[in-house]
Amino acid sequence: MRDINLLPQELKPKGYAIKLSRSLRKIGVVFLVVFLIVSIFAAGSFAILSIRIRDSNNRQSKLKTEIRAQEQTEQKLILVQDRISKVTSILSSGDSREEVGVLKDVISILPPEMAITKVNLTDSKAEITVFATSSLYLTRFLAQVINSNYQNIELVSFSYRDALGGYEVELGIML
Amino acid sequence: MFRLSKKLLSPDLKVLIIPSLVIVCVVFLFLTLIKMGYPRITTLLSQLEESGKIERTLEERLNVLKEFNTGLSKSSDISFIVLPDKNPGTWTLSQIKELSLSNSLLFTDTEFKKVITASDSAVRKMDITADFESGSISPVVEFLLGMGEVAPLTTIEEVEIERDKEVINSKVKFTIYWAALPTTLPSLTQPLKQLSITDQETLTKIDSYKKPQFTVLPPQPAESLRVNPFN
Repeated sequence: MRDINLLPQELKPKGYAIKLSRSLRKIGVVFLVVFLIVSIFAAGSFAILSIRIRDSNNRQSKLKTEIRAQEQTEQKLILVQDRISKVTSILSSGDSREEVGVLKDVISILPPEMAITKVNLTDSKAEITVFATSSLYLTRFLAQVINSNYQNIELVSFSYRDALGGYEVELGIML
Repeated sequence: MFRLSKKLLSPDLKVLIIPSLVIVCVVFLFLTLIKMGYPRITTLLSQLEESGKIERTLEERLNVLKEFNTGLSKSSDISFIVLPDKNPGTWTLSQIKELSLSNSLLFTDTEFKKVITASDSAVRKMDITADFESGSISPVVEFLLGMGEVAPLTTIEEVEIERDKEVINSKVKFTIYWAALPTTLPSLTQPLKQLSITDQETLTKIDSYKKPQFTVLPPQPAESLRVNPFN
């Protein structure tokens, strides 16, 4: 049976309009699908992120409770850190400890025929005065001092004491 | 009216209008979704990142505390004795007396000088000058080396030794230190530093320092108390 269109021909849309309409419908469907996918993705992300934040907050609360339970330990740690930083600062500022070591070294190489008569130790220098009855001992002693690994040795004074019958030498040793 | 719309909406337009409206609506909804959803999701992401950071800081803090508790918590006592919060002059004096006695030095005189506070530091210090007599220099040296390793922390500022006939006269200037205790704990979300290797070495060093002898006086029994101390 043949199709009979009783509508007037001017009410029928033209061919290009029908083609454009079909294309627009396809675009509309694609847009709708993309929109739905993006919406689902956004809603899913929102839900997952919210759950993860809630879980993280719960874990934080638990950790905070555990840390609060260790408050005494924390106080001790802060005290130790504070004290150590101050002690380190004091020790690094320097004192005469090393110069005391210098005096000990000098005593260890001093022959029994010689004696230390005067010592002045500061944080930068060890001034040691020695007395020797013989120039031979003095020479040996000075050679040993020079052979020691001191960076700077000064001969501050050298004198012969007739009344005491010997030589008096003042050395300034710097580390 | 109907005629007018009929004239305006031609059959071509009628066919195009519905899919066009659908596209416009979807685009509008899409833009709205992006405009509203994107800032919320980025906010949530930054919240999650921040939350993760705080969580990691708290975990690290807890680990540091657990480690300190198992290994080094006793060191707080020695660190406090080495650098107390009050003037440790009497403790140092007892150390000087004890060490001079053990090195056969005659402790003849002592003087406590004024308290010094550096403007840029919380550490306060005081000078103590002590005089000794001995038969030779070696005991003085041993005493000085010993004083370098006593608690509370004592530094040797200046030493003068002079021989007077058979007597060795020594004058030593020490400096003692103290500092107020920390009053606040860092905020929970701030990272807590572990003791560094250098700190642990310093701690081991000061742990070997000779501690002062403390005496605990037991309380007297009630019946031995005198009712009238003037009689």
